[in-house]
Amino acid sequence: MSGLEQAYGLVVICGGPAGMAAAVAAAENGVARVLLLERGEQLGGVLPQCIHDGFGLIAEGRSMTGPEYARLWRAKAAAAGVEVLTGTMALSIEIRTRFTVTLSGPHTGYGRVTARSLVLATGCRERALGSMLIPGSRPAGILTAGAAQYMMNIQNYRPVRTAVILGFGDIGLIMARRLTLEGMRVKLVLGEKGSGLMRNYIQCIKEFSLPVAFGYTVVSTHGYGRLRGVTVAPVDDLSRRRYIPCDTLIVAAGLIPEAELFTRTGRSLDGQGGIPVDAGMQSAVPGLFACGNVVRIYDTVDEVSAVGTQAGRAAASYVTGRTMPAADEQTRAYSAGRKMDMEAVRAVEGGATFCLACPRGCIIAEQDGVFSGGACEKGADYARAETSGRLRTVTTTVRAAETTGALLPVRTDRPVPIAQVGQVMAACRRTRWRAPVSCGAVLLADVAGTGANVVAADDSWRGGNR
Amino acid sequence: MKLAYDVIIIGAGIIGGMTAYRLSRYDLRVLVVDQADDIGEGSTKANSGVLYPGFHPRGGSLKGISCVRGNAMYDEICRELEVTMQRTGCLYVAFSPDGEALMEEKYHKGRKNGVPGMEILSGSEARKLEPMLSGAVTRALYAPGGGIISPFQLLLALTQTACQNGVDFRFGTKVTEIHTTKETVVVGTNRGQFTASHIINAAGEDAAVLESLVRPQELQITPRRGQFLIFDKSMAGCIRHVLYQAQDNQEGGTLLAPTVDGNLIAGPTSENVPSYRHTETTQEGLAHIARVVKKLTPDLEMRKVITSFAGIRTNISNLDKEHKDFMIRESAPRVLSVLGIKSPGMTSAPYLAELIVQRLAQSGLVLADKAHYRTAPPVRPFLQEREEVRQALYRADPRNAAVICRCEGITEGDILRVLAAPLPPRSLNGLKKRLRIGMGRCQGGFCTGRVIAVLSRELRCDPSEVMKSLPGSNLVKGRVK
Repeated sequence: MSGLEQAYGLVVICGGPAGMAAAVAAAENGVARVLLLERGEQLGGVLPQCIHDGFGLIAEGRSMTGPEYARLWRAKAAAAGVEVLTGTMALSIEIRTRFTVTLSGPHTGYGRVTARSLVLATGCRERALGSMLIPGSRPAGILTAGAAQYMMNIQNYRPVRTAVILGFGDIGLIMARRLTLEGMRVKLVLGEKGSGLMRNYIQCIKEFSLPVAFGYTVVSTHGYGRLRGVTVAPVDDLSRRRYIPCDTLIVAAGLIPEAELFTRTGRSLDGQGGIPVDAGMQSAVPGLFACGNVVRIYDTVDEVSAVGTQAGRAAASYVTGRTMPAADEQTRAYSAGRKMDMEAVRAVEGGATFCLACPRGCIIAEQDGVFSGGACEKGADYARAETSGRLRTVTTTVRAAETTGALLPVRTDRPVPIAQVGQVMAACRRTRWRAPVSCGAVLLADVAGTGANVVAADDSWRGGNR
Repeated sequence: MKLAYDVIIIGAGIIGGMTAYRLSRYDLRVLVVDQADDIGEGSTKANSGVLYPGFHPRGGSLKGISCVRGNAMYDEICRELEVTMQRTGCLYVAFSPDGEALMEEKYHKGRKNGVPGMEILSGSEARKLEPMLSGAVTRALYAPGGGIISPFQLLLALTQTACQNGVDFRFGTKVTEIHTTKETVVVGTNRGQFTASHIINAAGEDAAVLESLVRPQELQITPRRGQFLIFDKSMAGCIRHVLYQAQDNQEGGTLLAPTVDGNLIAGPTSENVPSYRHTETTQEGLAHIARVVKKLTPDLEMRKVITSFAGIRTNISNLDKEHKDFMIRESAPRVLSVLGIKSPGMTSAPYLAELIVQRLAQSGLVLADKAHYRTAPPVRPFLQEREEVRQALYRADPRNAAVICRCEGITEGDILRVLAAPLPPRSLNGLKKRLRIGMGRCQGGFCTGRVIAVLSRELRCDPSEVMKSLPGSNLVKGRVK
């Protein structure tokens, strides 16, 4: 690029689920030259590190892992003719008759591109411990759930031996399970109140009988080199302190829209810290659209993809001047996922069955073998299947045969009995993969006699998923 | 191991670093030793970054005079070393008749110390200068010479220039013995013996203990902690001056100031702690700072705080306040000790270093100018460079354009260039101090794993051997599989 200014119809900033959907929708609806900028070396934003499943349940009708979901959208972007620049970070935007984006990356250097329209899909960041004003020392071993997830699932770093998890955010719940499955010890998950999805609470905490403390917070961290422990106490009586030795504190205390590109143009955010947009995902600036977690924090990727599509269509309408047919009503079907409010948590403790076929989490009642209470017919099927033996899909990673130790995300191609999850994990730990591997390739047939195969959940690329 | 030096400086903090920088222009063999693994790991690491105007210390004290003179010397130092410094001016504000009396006392101290340009302002005049200032402020003392600087960037520039001009640095080197003979001083350390004709004891927390190796100890130097809050960069411009306040009750010298990096800093607190390791923050400390901030600027948004930290300063604890001062004295022939340097130590450092050099000359050290003295240019991040430089850097290595730390705009190439510069970092915090990597609003959430990977590759060690800072502060506990 080096000084050369390239003109695009639309530039989409960040290639996570929202940005990929916006770029695809714009390209499919007549925008010539759509450029998608992604900071990572691979499209997908945070998806490649989210190796668990549950993505695409609503939009695609099946439960995919993060890497599979990203791969699906990567293919859609390629098919739609979206131009992609990976490893590239947008540094600033300028709003004139056209939009100018200043960017930097190893493939382009420092440069500028211009566009008729812009979609901001920059996602969010995690709230860090520092801003929570929790006193104590600042040793190694305090990190956010997402940082721990990147280290474990992408880098093959083990950040933890024994952990306390602060906050009931979804990534924290998912990491609690991930740590447990990989042989690390979660000593406590605590927070003022539940905030993640009920689905994650049940599948990641309850099913592993992990200790939880509602209404608690961390009041101090201890240790100078590496963390030695934390002191916890109930929020309403901070004098009732309890010391818990651990070498890691994982913070899962909420997500904050990453809206700095927008605020640095001198514009304000809404009360929740997101970019204010109208029903068509357009900001107060004509031609400037925003979608995904930079607008507000969504529960599921399906919703994010849907609003991304909406933004992409609206941008296409802005650029081409054509009115788009109304977006399908699918977005509305994503009634908010069932959150782990105290009522729901108590219901689980009381033995209630939550349908986890989708994030809605309906409570299913049983009387004389008849199941009722679901919003759709899946509820009864789910509850019936649960009573005859719980089955779970196992998702994990497998190490490369080469010394690089690069990880490939894998999954079982069908659910396995919950009692055999540990054996499947052990088998995966012993297995090695050799490039090239394509997504869906069988790495372990009939794993642990379950009848399920362990298959690759992504293509191997450049010798490893980095 | 026996090596002959002209001067050995014990301590790579602001005093040791400034002295090394001053001496590096002369034709001398100089060694700096420090027990830590990096420069500035003691008091220097965690101070407020404020250049004090000089109206705080007792009138006519070494502390007062060195503060005013040292402050004035920073224009030239910062120009020579390309270190960012801003003369923001400062306001010492009063809320009550008692506070006004304290303010007037400061004014008189300032007069005695020679603080230039002081003015006493009404509350509304002060608010004109600083619009967010509380309506309750009745009067304020204004001093235009107060300013802000990055303590670490300053120390880095000083020591890199010293290093470039031939000063040796040895880290992880703890002094255990000092013997003086007729012509030399022998310094025993955990890493062997070194000899020199002169020793500067600028060991901060250990200065009194080291002095006791050559004379009876009469000074007690004990740790005193100061806690700070840092606000997000979106607050840049909200506060323009260094704001001190007349204390009611036990509020200590807590101040609120902008930083050269565009954040705001509030602190410090002041409490005695059992050891120099006690750098934790406390509930009471953080609440205290929040109270002072509210008092100074009631409308400042506390939810914009991104982090808190604490530093330890060295306090002479067995002298009463009236007799306490910075101390430079000959502890034994050719052993010069610098003692009890707490705030405003950084502001005073240029003048103190000049005094030290004078004392060395008086005791026979020959100061002949070096033929090829030159300063070390700072590593400026790729994104802050001028267009032509950026182009050249990108052509030389595309990784210069690969952003790793999003919040502070630091690239992989920036890390590589810092690792190739004099006095390279050996830990994540060392890198953080040099490049601000991980110091932004996400506090390392996105970049920590990536930085560990770069450090482990470049330092040729396993990721589990990359430290946050201290030995034992491993970030990674091995591989998942």
